[in-house]
Amino acid sequence: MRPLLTVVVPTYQRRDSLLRLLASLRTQTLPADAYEVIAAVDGSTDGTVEAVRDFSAPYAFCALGGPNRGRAGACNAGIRAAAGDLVVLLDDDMEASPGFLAAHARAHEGPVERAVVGAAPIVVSPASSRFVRYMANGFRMRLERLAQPGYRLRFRDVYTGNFSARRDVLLAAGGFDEAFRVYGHEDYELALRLQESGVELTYCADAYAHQHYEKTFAAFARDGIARGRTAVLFAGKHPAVVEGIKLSEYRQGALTWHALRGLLLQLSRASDRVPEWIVRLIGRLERWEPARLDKYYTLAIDYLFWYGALAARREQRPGGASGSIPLSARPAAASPASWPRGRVWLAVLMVLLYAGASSVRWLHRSADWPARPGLDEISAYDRRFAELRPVLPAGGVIGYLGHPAPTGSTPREANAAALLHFRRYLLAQYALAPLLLIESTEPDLVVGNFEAGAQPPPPVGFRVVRDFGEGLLVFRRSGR
Amino acid sequence: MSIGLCLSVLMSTALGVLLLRLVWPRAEAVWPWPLALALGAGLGAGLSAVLVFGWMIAFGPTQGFPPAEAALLAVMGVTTLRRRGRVRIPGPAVAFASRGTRLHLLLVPAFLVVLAAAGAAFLSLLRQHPHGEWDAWMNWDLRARMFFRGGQGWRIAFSAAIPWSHPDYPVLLPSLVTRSWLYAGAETLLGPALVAATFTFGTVALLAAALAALRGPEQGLLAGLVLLSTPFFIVHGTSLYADVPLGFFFLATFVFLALDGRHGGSTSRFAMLAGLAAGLGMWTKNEGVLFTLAVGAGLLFAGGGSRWALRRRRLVAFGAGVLPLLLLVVGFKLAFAPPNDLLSTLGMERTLGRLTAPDRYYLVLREYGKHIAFFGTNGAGAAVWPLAACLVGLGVSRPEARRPWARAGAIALVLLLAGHFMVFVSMADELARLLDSSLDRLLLQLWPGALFLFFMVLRSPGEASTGRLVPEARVSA
Repeated sequence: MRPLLTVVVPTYQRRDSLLRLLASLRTQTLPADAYEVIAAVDGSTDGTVEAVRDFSAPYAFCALGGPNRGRAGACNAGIRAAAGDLVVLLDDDMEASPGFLAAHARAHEGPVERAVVGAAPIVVSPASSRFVRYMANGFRMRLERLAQPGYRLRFRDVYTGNFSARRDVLLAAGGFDEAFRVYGHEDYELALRLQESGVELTYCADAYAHQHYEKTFAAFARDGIARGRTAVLFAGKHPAVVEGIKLSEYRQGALTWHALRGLLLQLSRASDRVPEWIVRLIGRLERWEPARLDKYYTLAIDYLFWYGALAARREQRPGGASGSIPLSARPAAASPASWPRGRVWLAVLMVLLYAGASSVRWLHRSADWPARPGLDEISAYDRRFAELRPVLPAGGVIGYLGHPAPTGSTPREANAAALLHFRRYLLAQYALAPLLLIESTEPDLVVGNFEAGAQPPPPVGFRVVRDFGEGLLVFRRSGR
Repeated sequence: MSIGLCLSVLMSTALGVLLLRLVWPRAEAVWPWPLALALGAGLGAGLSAVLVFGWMIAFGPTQGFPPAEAALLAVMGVTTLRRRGRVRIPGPAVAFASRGTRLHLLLVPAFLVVLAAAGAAFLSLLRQHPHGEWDAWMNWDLRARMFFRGGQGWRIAFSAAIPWSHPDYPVLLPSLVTRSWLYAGAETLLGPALVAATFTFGTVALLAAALAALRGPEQGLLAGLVLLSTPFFIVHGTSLYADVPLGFFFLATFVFLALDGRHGGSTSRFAMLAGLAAGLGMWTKNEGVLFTLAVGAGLLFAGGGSRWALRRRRLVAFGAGVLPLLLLVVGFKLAFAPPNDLLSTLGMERTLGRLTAPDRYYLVLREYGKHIAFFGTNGAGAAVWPLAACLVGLGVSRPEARRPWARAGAIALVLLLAGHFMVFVSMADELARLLDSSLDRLLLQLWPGALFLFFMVLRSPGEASTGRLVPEARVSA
């Protein structure tokens, strides 16, 4: 007897999850002879084929093998092999409720041709990770939106992890597009074609299957990038509806995030390791569990999507991996190989603005050019000490005596006085080079450099050789 | 006097250009004159400084040097003429960018206006402070005076009796100033001013010319505009410190490495010249040693997909270029320089105490962040803003960013920053004061090289608006 309904389970590397799902299908309220189950094994290497080979169930069951072709290919194989009029597509991480198949069957009653999306809330337990809770929360809100009275499903509301449609309708539509080999958008694409062929998209909350979501953020990151890639593929196949998908939403959201994401995406052009760094960063944050971790998940997922999308755009172009990338759907349609010229000009204008500000500064600085500046401090010292040279030797070491030790009333004043004293000593050395000036009275010849009018008596054992005025003197050791 | 000074610059530039002419691979008749002149001006000045120091060791600071240098130049000129047409380097020629576009017409006058304004400011600042700032007169020019005035007693410049003047520092700048006075026949403030102008505007010219040659004229003009507009660069150029000349040699090292990368490994000459430029950096300031080590590490670890043999060749050639200057620096440190005052403050216990003080790390890190974020601030904001705008507006050229030399350069810059970080943490006594007085200068040394690296890996406006690569970008490293 031909079954009423065929459950097609595409599966890849999830043996235990698949066995849990198959067990849950044993307890359906629908009679066991009313349905069959086909496991479309998509090239799994984890022993799935061996595990299901001897599986016994009250319902008809078979497993289809074959190489890895992606989810779309596995689903199509199952649909083609289905004997039932109605095909239920069920992901391998689901666990069907007892009334699950009966609810799907009921949803197709009546004259209207329908494609039915069932409820698939993510199971959360106390042991669930923060990321699973985040995903569960997001999916719960999505299901609440679909369950609102009067809500009309659009193609982007459809997921085919819990989905049913008549087999001949699916075959007439051509099944899944197998060009979608990696994660994402194959269900939007199928739903869009079904909708365009007059099939009504509906949601059935009674067609209930628990989803045991077990991915970590790192595993999800790969799917996130793949979603970006398949978004570009989808946009290429259906440019008319590109406004309806995330690919057209680059400019939505906070401006600061736009800037940061833009920077990250530019960095990603230089290094393929940026997504890995992001995943590592999220891993670190998961350990610290900050309050805004959910927000960071959202931002990281957004970045990963755009990373995948931009990578796909680059690969599509004849030039390969370099060149520019349109970041929204609209300019992409007009100029697929270039960035908006405004963006380039903005960069140039920013440089010109910076240069202009400096030019104004430079011109302001040199505005006093016609005025003749007075002699600078160092030149003045040079001129003053030039008078000393005739009475000093051409080379060698001489002593230096400066102002008395500073005794400022505060440490700051004392420090400033010491600095001034040191500066004067350095200037004297600079002026009298190549003589070496040491701050000592050990040499026989000593230069005294004091404040005008405040000159102390000669050091003990020294006599004044010559007073040059304004505190500048040369002393010689007495008896030499 | 003025004729002598002009002659000193012309002679050193000719020396640099002739050296480049002798070693430049000429498989095709590609000889970018602006780039050669900019490179020649700085390299020639550096080589002249080495020559004059050697002359002083042999004969003292005598007036015989200018004729001797002229004779050497004549020999090099004749050799160049004799070898012309016979030198053929196998392998792909260095490809250079084509002419610019309409944007070119906007950027050229803008560049000229900013150049004129910066030039006016340079002259105005020099007029106000003809002896430069603190380090210039108490270190470099003091030493030059001791060389020039000292006669046969010129070695007194390295006396440990005046440790505050850092007599252990290498003497490229004092040698150059002395050389200018030897050419002028007398001591004049125009000598150090001319040296400062050569390196300040030579750095701008090198950055713009190298990028124009390798990535298109617009790229060169944009980078040149940013460098010319960095207030600290021009102000510091007039302070007659050694950081701007050091920045020139760091930049020249990167330029030669980029040329080496473009040449596809068929010649080692550019890598050798990169080593020479890094070596001249070592002869300018002690920071040059750290830079040379960092570039060597970059070349070793950033081979990308290049074969080990190619990487080894590049590294050996770089080392060969460094070697003569390394020997000179080691010889100088052993025979002339007293112990470094910073190193002499080291002691195992004190150093360990500093290294285990977390607040020192925090302080240095905070100052790093602050100084980098606000570097080049003028009325329109810090320099990071136009660069960020270029990054977002133009995007990164992936093929350029993946070149081994670009990775090596980036690694070198990071290692340098990390190296200076550890020097600050482990050595400095008055950390806050030292950071305040020297961190901006350390960043300034890296600034021209960092700008070159940034604009090399950035897409040019033409690439960004057409989505196509300029032809030379397809030449693989």
